[in-house]
Amino acid sequence: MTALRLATVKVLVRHDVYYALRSTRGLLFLVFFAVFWLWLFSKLAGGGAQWLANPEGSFIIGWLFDPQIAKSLFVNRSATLSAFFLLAVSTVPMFVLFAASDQTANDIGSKYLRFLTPRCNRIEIYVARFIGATVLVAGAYIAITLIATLMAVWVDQVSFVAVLADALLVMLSLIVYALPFIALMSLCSVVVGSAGLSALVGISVYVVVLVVVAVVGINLPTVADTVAYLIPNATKPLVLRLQWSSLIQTLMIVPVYILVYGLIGWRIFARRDI
Amino acid sequence: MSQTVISTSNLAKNFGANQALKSVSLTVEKGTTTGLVGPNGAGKTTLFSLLCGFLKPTNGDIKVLGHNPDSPVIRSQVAILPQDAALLKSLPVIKQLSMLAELQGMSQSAARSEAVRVLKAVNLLDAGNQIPERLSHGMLKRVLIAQAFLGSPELIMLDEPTAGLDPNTSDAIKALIRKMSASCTIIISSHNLAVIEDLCQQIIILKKGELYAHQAVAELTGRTKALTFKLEADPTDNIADIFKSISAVTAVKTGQPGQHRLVVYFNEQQDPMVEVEIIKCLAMAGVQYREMVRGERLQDSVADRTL
Repeated sequence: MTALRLATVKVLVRHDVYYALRSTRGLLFLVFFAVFWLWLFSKLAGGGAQWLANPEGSFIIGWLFDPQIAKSLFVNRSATLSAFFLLAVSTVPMFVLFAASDQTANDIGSKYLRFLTPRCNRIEIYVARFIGATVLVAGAYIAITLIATLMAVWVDQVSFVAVLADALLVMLSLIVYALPFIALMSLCSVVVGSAGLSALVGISVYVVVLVVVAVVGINLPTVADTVAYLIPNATKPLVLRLQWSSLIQTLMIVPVYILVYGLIGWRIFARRDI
Repeated sequence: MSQTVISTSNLAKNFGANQALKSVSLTVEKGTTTGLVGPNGAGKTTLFSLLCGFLKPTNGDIKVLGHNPDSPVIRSQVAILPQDAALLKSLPVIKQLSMLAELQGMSQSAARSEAVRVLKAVNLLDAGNQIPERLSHGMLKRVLIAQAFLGSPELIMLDEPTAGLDPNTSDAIKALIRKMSASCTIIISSHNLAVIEDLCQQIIILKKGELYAHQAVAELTGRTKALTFKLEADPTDNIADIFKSISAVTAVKTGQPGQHRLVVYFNEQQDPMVEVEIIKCLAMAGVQYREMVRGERLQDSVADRTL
């Protein structure tokens, strides 16, 4: 049950991605994602982000997030790409909790896993579904980052080469930031029997902890900071700095989340009736 | 020398406070086709799911091909037709069968050929490019049977393989199972005892979560010790009297009202011609019958034991 054959995982991932691009839930995610970003790109295309590089804009970003983040994102950087990054990071929970909600949930509900378990080990299914969801999410973020980069070149009148390093950093930061959310959904999708319910559980857990952190933070900020580590967005302040050094720091924290969520999920999946 | 393909010892499964299976110990030998039967709630599906590794036992031990049902060692050596499992909704069935064959270690092209082979075997190649939602219940069942025949499994476990199939398709599937039984061990869980009687050499009967019997089908139906008649009408209360003149008749049993059934048990060692004598007695008494079966029907035999 615990033997992990890489060849089998590879086949499972290929099938998972193939099915995700043809299934209702996969297409629904891609359509929502595309419509949302088309709408936002239409706003950014008019140069709407450039005012954020002004002192007033930086002040608002500093007030909403952190003055350091405002400085890091909007000084000597393409404002359009930075605005895109800010919006993308802020919406990662919404999209990723939805996109990664059906790793094993629907297959548990429909008992499709009963066709897989005679042929592959549970750990292979569990790992492959995590990788499959990651490929789907990463693909979507790579695509919109490329569009945002081209838009930045056009709107902010900067050269493609000049913005390329930032674009790569944006792309990697978004994918790395999304990974703990995908791992959280690996856990959520093994405890329920439908993708919808899995998304609901994931979003509920996330929102409830956010509310608890906000309420507790009024009087006990230290406790709130500790509780905040339960949810997968603990790396957000690091990611938002958009620096290679911060990304490396993030890369050291993210595996902890993946391991913790992943191992709890695996322990449930390994023992549960299917 | 016989080899054990499945063995369970003190196997139990609880669902909350409900004991679905209580201390079941059994063995299935290699090369046999074994039926798993029992009334609703007897624990048949639970035992089947435990053997397949879908459920985890509460107590006891299971060995399938000498390993735990979840063991990586037996991957692709065991093929399963689960009863309630659904295929993926939006992929053509041939693609899904190819995907499953690939997971058994075949290359993409070999998997495609294997999918074509099994679809041909269940006479469904024309529907290969359809998605499951567009197939009828019977066609879908055949696709699911096809997936159980992918590759060369050593053990095939089939849950209700003929449920929902028309008689012609059911016969074709039975012929296919019979063909497969020449090269592997088969377990069939079914409510249709005619199918079990037709295909199986051994039978496992469960009753209220316990192993009630595990024996040869021929032994259970007593093919050489009874004649079963389907009469034109229900037998009269005193029908046993017409066989009083035959000393080799040991017992007479009638079915439930409406079943029109009569079973006559005898000792053929006492009179080798006793079967002819029984038929003669019926004719002389003016009792007409539609069909006669040597032995007791499995359905009747199991019903008598499990009711």
